[in-house]
Amino acid sequence: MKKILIIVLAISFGFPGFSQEEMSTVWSKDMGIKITFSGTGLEVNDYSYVADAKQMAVFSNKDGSIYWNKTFQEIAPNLKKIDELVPFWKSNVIFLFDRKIGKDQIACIDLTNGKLLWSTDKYQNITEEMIVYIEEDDGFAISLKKELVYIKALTGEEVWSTTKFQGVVGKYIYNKDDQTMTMVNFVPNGIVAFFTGLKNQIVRINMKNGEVIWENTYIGRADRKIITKDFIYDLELDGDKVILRLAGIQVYDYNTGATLWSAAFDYTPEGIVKPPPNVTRWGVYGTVADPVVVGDDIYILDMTDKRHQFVKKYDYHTGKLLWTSKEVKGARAIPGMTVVDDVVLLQIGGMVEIQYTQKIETQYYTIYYSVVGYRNVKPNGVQAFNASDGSLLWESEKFKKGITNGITVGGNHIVCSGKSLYSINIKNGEDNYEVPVSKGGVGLAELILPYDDDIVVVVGEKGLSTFKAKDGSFIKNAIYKSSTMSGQIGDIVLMKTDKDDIAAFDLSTMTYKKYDARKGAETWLEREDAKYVYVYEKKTVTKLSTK
Amino acid sequence: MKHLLPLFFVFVVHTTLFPQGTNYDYNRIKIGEAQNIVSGLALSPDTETLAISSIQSFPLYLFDWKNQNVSETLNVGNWYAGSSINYSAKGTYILLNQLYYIDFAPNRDREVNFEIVDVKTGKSVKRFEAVHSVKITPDEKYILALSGDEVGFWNITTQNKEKSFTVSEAGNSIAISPDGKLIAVSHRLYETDARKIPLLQRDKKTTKNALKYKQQISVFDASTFKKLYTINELYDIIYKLNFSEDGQLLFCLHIPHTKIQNNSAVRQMYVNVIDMITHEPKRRGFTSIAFYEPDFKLSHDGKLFGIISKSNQFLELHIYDLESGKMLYRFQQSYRLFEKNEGGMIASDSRSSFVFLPDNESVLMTMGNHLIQWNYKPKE
Repeated sequence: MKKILIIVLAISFGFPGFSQEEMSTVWSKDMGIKITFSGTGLEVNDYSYVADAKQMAVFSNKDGSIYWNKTFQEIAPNLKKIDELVPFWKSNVIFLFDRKIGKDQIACIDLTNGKLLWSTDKYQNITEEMIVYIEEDDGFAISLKKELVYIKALTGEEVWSTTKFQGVVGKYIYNKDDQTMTMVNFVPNGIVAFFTGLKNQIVRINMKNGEVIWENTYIGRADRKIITKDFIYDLELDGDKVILRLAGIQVYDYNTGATLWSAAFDYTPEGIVKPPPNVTRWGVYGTVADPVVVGDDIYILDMTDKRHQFVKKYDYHTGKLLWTSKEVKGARAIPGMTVVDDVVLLQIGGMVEIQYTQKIETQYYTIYYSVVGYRNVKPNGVQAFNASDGSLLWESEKFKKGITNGITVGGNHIVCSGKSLYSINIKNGEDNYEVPVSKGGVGLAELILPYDDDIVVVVGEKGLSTFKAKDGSFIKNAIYKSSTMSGQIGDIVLMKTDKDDIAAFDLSTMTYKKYDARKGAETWLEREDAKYVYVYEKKTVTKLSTK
Repeated sequence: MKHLLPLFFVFVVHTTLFPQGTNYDYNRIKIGEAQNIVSGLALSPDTETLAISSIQSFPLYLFDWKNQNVSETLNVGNWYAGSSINYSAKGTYILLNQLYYIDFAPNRDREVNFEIVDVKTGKSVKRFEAVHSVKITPDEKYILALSGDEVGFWNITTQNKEKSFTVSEAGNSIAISPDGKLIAVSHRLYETDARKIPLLQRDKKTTKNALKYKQQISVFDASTFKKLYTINELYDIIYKLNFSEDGQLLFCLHIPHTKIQNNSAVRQMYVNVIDMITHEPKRRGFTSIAFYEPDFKLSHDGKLFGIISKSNQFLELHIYDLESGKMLYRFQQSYRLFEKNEGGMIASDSRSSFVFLPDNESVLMTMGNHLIQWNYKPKE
């Protein structure tokens, strides 16, 4: 009995010896301000800030020393408090908004010294969403009810205004060579009433004088996600084509603005995921994979009809339909599509993103929670189609415990059912191997990542594990606690728990460093090389090293 | 108030045509006293005379485009919605193709009226009622008319049908090569051919849909009527086939059945190109979203391809580099609602026709009852 007790004690006390390290603190500082707003600047720029409604402090990223700390009234006498604060890191300026009905103040301050660059009450009823910083030209496009105004960031000088563009600047493509910008308009959800009679516009505009070079319209609603405000569409330039990936694809000629062709499908992911009770705003994203361009062809998912879904292959240059696949039966969501070696692979079902605001109402208080999460949409599986004629090549069995994204390694499709890791021969659908992810000990797989040439990283419910892509043999694991992936920069993967504890996993060593934060703490993984994490808790800012 | 009223009319009535965009070099040309919307344009082979057809049974104009004079008016082609027109190879005849405003059955075979006019006498030579397509042979001896499944050869002098051949399940279009040796005919996909196409071997439904919605082009020897080959490509419903002047390319305008359009908002139409040397379809093509079958033409040097399209509101002319398929120029026929000028209405009726001018730098296009000369190559 004594022996057993010793063994138990050895096990109990011995494990901490093998447990993962805490992240080392580079510095931690009480900023003297209850942090309501925070922003982490680039390491190279060395400026970050914390603020509440009445004051703000800017500190050094290097050591946390405070460059300056001022009340907003000190910065600009007209500013009593602020309602919104928008940093523009590359130009080291911050926009401050003080809202009073009919007397809105906008001030722009130099982040480096807290000096007022300019302020104005000229623009009324402006929200954060109506101001877009054009980083490439160091200016702001401000959408007013009847015109778009473009001002220089550092001086506030109004460079031009145009009534030919209505609504807010959405995604844009800036051309440095001729200082023109191609952009789409949209109306953010909260301010629909502000812009009445708006038509969908895609325009190319001369940023030197506001002259509209060309204008066209687009189909669909170019919106942002309701909580994270990410755009739900893409605008990109491919040679002479402007590609708008919204409700399918819409293609314009970059030089003239003419509509080249479109394959637009009216699709709303209604009913795919049921919202919880008392939800005031609700969005489901990532249910349909983006179109895939391969040479002269483009593959697009047609999910218009809820009961019948198809892959369609078009001529990328003319939009001529080349084939429609056999029906993709029963899929409620198709979040992934890849084309490899003349095979179109579809990820049927899987994790889709949900965002919502939930209202909690009691006798004493009403609270609104903003939630960003993921839900698995069933059925789950993989289907493969012949890229030459759209015929069904093979179909996997239904994955009962969910499905992850798929990756391609050495001509094989690797995917996780949640419980098992599969390598599937792309050409015939036969399994090269099936190995249980339980070998990794990190719970059900949520996501897989490729690493090096032959490693699959399984992001599980409780950490990370690695397997050889070639034969599925287990390599290593790093077990944490229930958490979800919060970001990846290079080799560093950040996982975060419901209680805002964080762990930074280094894929090169498969070790992690953790930090137990307070509930409600904001964390920020430094974007340049992921060496640091900033944690904002109450009045304290802590800089942690991930390495 | 009395002072303001004339000012108001000045603003409302005296508006000018303005294409959308900037740096357009264009001017508007009046066609004599023409009051009606013009529907078709064709440039004579010697490039001196422009033939102009218009709507509401008004005459066909022969227009000296250099001096901007109407040289003759011909009382032919009296169709309410106007006609599209083409000169014969030597310029002796003009072929008029009746147009309609609305295609009530867009997926069905089109049967319309045609008329051939002798340019010198101004007299109608021959009328065809309810046929699919009509072409004049390059030697100007015969009129080819596709009626049902039959391609008939009508002597242009005697107006008698002298010979014919049958193309099973023929579609809407025929074309004869500039050397007169080949005749291209569009037709439905044959079941026997469908069985040999790997793309259609997938399943019965795919084959069934292809047989229902797809067409092909077969090329025949114009003297023996023997089928030489079928172009190895599936097209949508083919409405127009035209050879390039050198006979090396065949242009095919085809429009998908309404059930298989890419989206419900616009009707996309395609002009695909076939290399007649190799008999292979070229991958590159051109797209239009015009309201009606769009006019399309090659420039005189064969380097540019123009096609009528539209934006959300207005008609447009798109000019592409034929070789690369890159769009080079775009003209948008923008105008204000109720816009008028001293010459009367200028708004178009959602159709437009155009011709390239011999300088290879400008085009003439129809807009309302006027022409627009657009110099698409910017001046240095």
